[in-house]
Amino acid sequence: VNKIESDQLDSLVDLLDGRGSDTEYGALHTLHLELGTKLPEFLLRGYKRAKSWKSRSAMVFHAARYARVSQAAIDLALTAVNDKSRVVRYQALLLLAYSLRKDLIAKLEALEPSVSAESSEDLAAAIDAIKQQNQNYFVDRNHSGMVTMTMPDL
Amino acid sequence: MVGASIRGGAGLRAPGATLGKAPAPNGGIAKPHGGDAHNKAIDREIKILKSDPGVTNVRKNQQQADINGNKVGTNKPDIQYDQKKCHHCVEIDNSALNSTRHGQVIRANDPAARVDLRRLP
Repeated sequence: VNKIESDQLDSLVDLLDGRGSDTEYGALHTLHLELGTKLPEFLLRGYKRAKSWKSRSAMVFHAARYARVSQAAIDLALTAVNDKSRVVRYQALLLLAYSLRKDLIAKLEALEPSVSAESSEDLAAAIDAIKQQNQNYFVDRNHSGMVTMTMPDL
Repeated sequence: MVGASIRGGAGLRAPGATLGKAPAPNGGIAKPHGGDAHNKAIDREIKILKSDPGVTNVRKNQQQADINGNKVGTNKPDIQYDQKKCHHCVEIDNSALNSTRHGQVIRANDPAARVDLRRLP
């Protein structure tokens, strides 16, 4: 990716505002086609630029589908798990739960004493999902088997 | 557990209590819901569901019902249908801002419902 292209891609990333509009998804599809599994690297940069919690939430939200193939997606979530916004933290923990990466359990457990009270249940659910190797448990907190979470194919 | 503060949720009703009869299923035929991409994803899924003879009572963006056709919430899942004596609700999340409560609201309204939370591709 050359400098000009990179700038243009960053501009598209900045259109990801979390509203779910056609403009946002148009930008996302272009980014997905151009970058594939490298998109989370740009989302991580976008997260660091974003002032609004809505934009930060969008960066994490759109990185979630890459959680199993991209270290940048994991790095983004590990940063966002300390965000001042509860919604952003929720999206970060959802991404980490979806990753099912057991090597993250220790890092997540280390957050337990310091995590905001309003995110403590989400943190516990992420840890549980990874330990049980079932991403659905992040949204199915009592293991009913009645709630599933599905990500789009890459 | 889910409480009264969740919009469209069970409120102070007992979990699973009904609010009378739900509107008749619209068969997935409804005005566009959300943005174009979101609406097309809903319609794509409805087309697949309607090709399955085991699927009945397809609803698009209607207030939540249960397997008996009772209204159980004022929230409107993107898609609802019945299959094998089970009521299913599908939410196709497209917004990073409002996706955190869909599953909780639906389950609080109808603990017997199956919920599929998907991301808009």
